[in-house]
Amino acid sequence: MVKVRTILLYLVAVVVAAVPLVPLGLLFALAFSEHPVYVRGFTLANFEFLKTGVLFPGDPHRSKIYPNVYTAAANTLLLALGNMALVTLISSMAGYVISRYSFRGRSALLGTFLVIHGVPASVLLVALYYLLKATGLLNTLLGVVLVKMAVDLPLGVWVLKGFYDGIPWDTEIAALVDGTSRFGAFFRVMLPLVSPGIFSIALFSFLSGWGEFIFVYTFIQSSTNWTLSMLIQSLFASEMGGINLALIAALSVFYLVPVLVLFVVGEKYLVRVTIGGVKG
Amino acid sequence: MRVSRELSKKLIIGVMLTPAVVVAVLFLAVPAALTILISLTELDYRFKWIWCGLNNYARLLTDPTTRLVVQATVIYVAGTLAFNTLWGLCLALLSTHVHDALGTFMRAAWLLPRVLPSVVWAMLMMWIFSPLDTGFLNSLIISMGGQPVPWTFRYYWPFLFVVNGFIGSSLSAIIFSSAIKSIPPDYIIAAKVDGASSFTIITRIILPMIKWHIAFFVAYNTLSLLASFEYILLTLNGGPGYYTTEVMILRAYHLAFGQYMVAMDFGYAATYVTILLVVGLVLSIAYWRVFRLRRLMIEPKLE
Amino acid sequence: MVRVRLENVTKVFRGGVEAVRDLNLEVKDGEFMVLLGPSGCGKTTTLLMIAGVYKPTRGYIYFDDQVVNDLEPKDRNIGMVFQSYALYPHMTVYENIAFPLKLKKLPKEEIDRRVREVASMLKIENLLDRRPGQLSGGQQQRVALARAIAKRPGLFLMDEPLSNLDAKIRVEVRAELKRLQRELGITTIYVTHDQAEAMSLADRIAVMNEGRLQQVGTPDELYYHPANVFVASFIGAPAANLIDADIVEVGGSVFMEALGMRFQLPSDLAQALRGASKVVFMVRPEDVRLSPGKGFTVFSVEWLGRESFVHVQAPDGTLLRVTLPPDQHVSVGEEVSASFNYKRAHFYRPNGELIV
Repeated sequence: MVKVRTILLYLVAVVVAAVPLVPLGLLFALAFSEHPVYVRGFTLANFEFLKTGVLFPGDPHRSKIYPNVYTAAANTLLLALGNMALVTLISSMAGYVISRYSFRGRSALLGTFLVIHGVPASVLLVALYYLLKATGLLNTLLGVVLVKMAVDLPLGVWVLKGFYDGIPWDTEIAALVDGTSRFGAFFRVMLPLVSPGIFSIALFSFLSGWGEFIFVYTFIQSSTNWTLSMLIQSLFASEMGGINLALIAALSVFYLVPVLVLFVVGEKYLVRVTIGGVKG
Repeated sequence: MRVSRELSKKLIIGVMLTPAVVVAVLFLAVPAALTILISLTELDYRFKWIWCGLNNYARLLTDPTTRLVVQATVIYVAGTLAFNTLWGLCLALLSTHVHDALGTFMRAAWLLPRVLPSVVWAMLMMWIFSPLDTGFLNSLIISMGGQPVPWTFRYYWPFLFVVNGFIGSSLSAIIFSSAIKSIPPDYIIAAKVDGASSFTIITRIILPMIKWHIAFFVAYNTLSLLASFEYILLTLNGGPGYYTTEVMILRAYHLAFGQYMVAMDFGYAATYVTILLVVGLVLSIAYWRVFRLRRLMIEPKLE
Repeated sequence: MVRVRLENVTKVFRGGVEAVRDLNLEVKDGEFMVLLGPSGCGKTTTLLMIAGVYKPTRGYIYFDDQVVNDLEPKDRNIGMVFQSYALYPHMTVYENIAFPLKLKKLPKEEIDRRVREVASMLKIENLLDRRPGQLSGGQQQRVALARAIAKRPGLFLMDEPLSNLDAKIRVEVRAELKRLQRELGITTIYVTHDQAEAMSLADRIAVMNEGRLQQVGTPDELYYHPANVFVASFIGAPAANLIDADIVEVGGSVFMEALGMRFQLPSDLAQALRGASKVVFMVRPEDVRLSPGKGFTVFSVEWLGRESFVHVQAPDGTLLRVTLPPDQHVSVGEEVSASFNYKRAHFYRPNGELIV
């Protein structure tokens, strides 16, 4: 016999679980809407831009301001991949050393990473702008990738260190006795065993780069270097009067597809990173 | 000639650790120091270093907008923190009291806004809560015969709490639920055997046992919120009106990168940031001591 | 097979912790040497120094007259078995065993031959395709052993390999391990805190405490002639009785005052104990004989089938451990008198040193 309270509990739980999904559903509804501003009907017309990447084919003035969607998408991909590659590479090495080796300044280094991770990057924007300008990296995608990577690194190091900590010492000693050098032990035994951690950080840093906005907004001026986030924001800011929200929604859906796919595939890993980043 | 063990150990540490250290120094330590220096200058769009000592700080004290900015910061941090912590607790409690599959699904669903690109979430929220007739909620209300509500014009703080809270509460929910799950079930069983109601179990056993996690989250989140501004920038951008939601870090951003592409007053902007940096540093060190985070660092065994 | 010698080996860790002090030990070719001692006595540290994972702070380690202090673990030709088995979770059993052979760059056919040979020796041929996570503790133990044996090392190092096994399996594996070592003839150094395990496996035992070597000898030597109080108390179960006593001389005869009573000592002992005043008297439970009489009261009786384990209370309140042969029965509260087999008993100075 099932209690009424239990039924109520589950009902509430289901409703609560659905709440954050509602805005997402509305986004999709608007993207397929026949009306540019209200959710009505179903059409694929808003996705016309997918054919050529040009958002306003009939409007040469607007077309000059806004870059081709595929250009922006390529920039977004570059940023995401660059961030992923650098963060994963550097933190898998640093995490190993910090976890397994005793050296002077180890506690200080770890502590520094922890402190840095707690304070958001926004506090460094002014100085970073100055630095990038001074080194000629302003308005370049490379500059943004480097900054983004630096910001995501402390988390990567902490999470991967945690994974390395979880491998028993005996396993590494066994490898040494079996005939590897320490470097060999790292490649043949340690890395394969922390591969879930590496995958988690790779996934996280890819998504982090893919969704990045504020660094692009601050450091990039030329629209050819825009990422999709910049494109959407700029469209929305200028279309605030409510002229063609459906188009923006469609573009957002296009932007979101990799995010949703990766989220469904790797949600478990993302949760690990979230916990790892806070508890160390 | 075989490389000695000491040397090879140093080589490994060097090669594998240096990139991370270099990045940390170049992109994080140097800019932090630079910010403090900039705050002592009149650096602006001309990009000339003109030292002016503590002038900017004096200006801060006499500037009438400072009071509004600080006020906005306090309200923002307190309100969002409360939302994040309390709602995160509710989510955690709810998701751990139902079947594991539903609980995991719930937490995953709430993780989604956090994973979405910020522009999309912000834009979505602005459209739903738009004060115009074309906003989603208003269009619903109008179609049902009601009057449109000026959501973001009048209820801007609750709006911001919701926008940011959906992002922050997933973090607290994950932390708290993992803490709840690690409570040895024996305690709960003993309490049930003693006749405690679910409510009592929650208040007398579960909550006290995750005290550390709650405190840690509050501390950590306060630090993050002090310098968070992306969603405010993307939605209300400091408005509506005169600096109503202009938190300190947003003020600094506007000063430096110009709301109307005019000022680029880096020196003055850096002043706000330096204050935040100092507060952040002090708090971090305090947390390090209070939470005895040293314990998290076990000395390695090998040589 | 390798002969191992430790000369004045000392290990001090970062922070000043002295894990091993001045250790001098020789392990003969083909010998089964057990390092025995309580937790923290330095036995695992010693093992890891022999493995090359730690470097001695002072002193030298020799493999067959060659100093190996600076030799990397991979070059020492050793096979190691751990308490946790330390199998590589991401490799199959076959790959685990083949790993050291692959690192030696042996030809594929040779590797395959050796792996199968060793697998059949340890009866795990049917497990070769499984992963460690799918195996039971006992099976994992065999795979760990196989991995160590397959590389044909000159030396086996084992760190409490049986501690994680169920008690019943442990006894079986113990016997098999001994037989295997005899058959292969590989020098073995085995670490454990379980004295029964040491006694049953070892050719010789090295007892350690607080980083220092207490005594080295065959199980017989350690059992019947412990060099100090620590060894006397550590070896043997139930533990030996260690009683504080005073030696007095009355009218030409030497007596031992202990437990609130006075015992006359045989003349040969008396000679050796002349001049001593305070001593520690050591007598094993099986060397205490009970007979009807007065002086002691039976405190508790545990009947274990092949013997009885009894506690008797002395006049001064001290409890004495006694094991009785199967046909002797006493009951709680009964009054008995106790006598000691002085031929097997020992006397020590208060600082632990042996007198006789």
